[in-house]
Amino acid sequence: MYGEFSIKEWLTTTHHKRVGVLYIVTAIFFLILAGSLGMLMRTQLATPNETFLTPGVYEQIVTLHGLLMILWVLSALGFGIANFIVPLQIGAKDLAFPRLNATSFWMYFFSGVLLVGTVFLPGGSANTGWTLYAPLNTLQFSPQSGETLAVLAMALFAVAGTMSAINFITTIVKNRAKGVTWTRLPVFTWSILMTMALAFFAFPPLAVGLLLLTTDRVLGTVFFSSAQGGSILWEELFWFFGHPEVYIVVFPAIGIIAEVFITFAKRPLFAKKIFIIEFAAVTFLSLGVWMHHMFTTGVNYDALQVFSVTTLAISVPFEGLVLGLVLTLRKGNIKLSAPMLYCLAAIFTVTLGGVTGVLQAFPVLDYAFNGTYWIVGHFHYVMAGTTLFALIAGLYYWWPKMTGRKYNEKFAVITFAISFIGFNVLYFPYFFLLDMPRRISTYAASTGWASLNFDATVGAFVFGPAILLTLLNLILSYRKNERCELNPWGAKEMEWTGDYCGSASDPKSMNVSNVTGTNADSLDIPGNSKILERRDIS
Amino acid sequence: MSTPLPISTIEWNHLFDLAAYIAVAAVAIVMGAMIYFVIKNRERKGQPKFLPEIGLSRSRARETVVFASISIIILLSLTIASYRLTPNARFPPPVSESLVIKVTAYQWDFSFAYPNGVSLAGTCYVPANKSIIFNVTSSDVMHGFGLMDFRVKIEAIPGRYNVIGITTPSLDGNSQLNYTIRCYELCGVGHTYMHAALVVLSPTAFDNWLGNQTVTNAAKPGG
Repeated sequence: MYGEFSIKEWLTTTHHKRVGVLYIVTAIFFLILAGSLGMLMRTQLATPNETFLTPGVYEQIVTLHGLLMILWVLSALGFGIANFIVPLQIGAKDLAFPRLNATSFWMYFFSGVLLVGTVFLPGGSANTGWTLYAPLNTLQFSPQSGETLAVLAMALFAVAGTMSAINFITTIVKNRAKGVTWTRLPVFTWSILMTMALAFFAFPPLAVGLLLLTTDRVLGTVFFSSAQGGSILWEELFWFFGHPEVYIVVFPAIGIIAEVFITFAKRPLFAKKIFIIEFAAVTFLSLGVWMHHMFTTGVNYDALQVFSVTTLAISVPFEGLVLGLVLTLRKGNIKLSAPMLYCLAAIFTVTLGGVTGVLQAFPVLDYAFNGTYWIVGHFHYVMAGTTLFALIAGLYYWWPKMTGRKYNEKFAVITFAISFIGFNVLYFPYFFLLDMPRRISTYAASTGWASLNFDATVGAFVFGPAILLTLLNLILSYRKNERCELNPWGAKEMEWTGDYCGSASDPKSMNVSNVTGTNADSLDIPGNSKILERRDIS
Repeated sequence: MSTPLPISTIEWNHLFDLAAYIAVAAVAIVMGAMIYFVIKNRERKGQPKFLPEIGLSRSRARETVVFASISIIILLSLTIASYRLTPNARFPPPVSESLVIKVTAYQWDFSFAYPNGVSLAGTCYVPANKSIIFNVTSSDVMHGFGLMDFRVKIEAIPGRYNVIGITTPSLDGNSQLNYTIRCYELCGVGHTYMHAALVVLSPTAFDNWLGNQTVTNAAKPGG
């Protein structure tokens, strides 16, 4: 039914549902691209002394894979789902600033195109890793124009992210339908509110760092090329963004898992109020832990200890979130549909990724972990595991809402099983490659790393295609031209039940055209006929 | 002949083992509970469509506090253990009793300068059973100075000296011990091949080697 829209309508739309679809389609395109880059790296590392990729090409692939996955795929896919779902969950007509939302999307889109386009420039793309450490990122050591444009692409993304953050925070605070009080706010919307609060504080420092770097590279200033502190200044700015970014990526995943558990266990979230308080605690604390990325920069040990303690402190409410999700299943009537399976897998990966993260919080232990494949294993469990699995669960779960179609359940369960096995074969060996440095393009046979690397590559060639099949399942749902039920899961949340969502499963309709015909019984408020009068912020 | 483990590695392994056992137990408990709940509460026909929350919010709050307290106690104990189990890794040995070596990382190798002015690239010779202090810096971009066999790592940063100390093990009957120093920070296209050797010699062999070096021309011992 999306075919009904002309190209011009797609290019000029400001409606949150269609912008959401644009985000999701673009992010999936970048996911396939960045995943393919990951497969190239695994091919190169399968055997020792491999010459398939030269170090110069390999470092560009490392950089693009990291940047695309973290910013243009995982963050953006969460933003896309939020774009579609959040206004429906709060009974808003649209986001507070629809044109700003479209602007954010197109800045995101063109920044991604710009980043990918840098590979065609002479001298190639950025090859400094997604962390772009100074002074390697300066003109002296990375003279290629691809590096400058990649920095600008990141800056553009950071500005787009900041604008989205302002837009979503305003929408959730001011544009809720009457009756959607803070206590009734669905947990996915809560997770997006926390995500955007972090984005609001984390993206501007990144933009500042990137603009300073741009003036270094274009105008010849010396913020980061200075031998006196340039490196550390960059690390402080980058990680002040970099650590909250992890939570910007993970929070929507937590929100999706909660929604899926509520629907498929047919049970309210365990202690929702406490859950939200823990969420807020993680959000607040995550702005004060960035130095744990810098344990080996020679900072005074006692100062490190402070950040070790804040890192351990954040693990307590975060563990509360995971326990809250698991304890939601303590009673209930659990249906193991594909979104549920993906979410259970995401709980496994977040637990393993979480405890390995706690080990890294001890500076002494981190002296060994830092810069090795252990770290790579840890953050892939959190990002490629928890976030990607939960985002796929979210796509599967809300697919009937977004398209009116349902994926093939049997096919979905099989691809889930393959991707979960492939994922673990791929990333679990990394925890045993404790002395293998990150971002090396090959290694000698004498290092003894060959067999584990080969295992990981086998896993990659299972995991990658399985994710493609997962996405194919969604596309194939268009094969049959029949609509599924309006609420196939029997979900209780507002985006499924409220008829202010237009004719419930119709993505093309504008919201709130029929505010008087409420279906607000689910909200259980007396005098509900006026319940969906939208608060007007103008 | 067995290769003796450096003291910092023994300490690190103790702390890691302790933390890893707790971590594995935590994963097992959470996963065990989740799988048990999923099997116990699997969908059955004839059950109500939606189960309301059962139990008082006060008891839920109590559970949350209990879980949080347990993890705080575990994490505090581990923090204390990280102090008790790893004194060598945290505190570099005193300079007066140590051999101080200046390490300069550059694209893409390490050079080692000894107190008598001898300096060489690619290989670092040190005496056995001695505390060594590495004074690490970089002459171009950021590098990592990692000695994973000793479980230590410090970044080599231009314009800054970072200190990391190790204590070399005794030779235990070996003629020399060979370790690898690797760069653990992406530093350009040569990063892949940026490593150096750390060779532990007996104290007499080390003194002989160092005495035979001229300041400008350092060579391999015996060669």
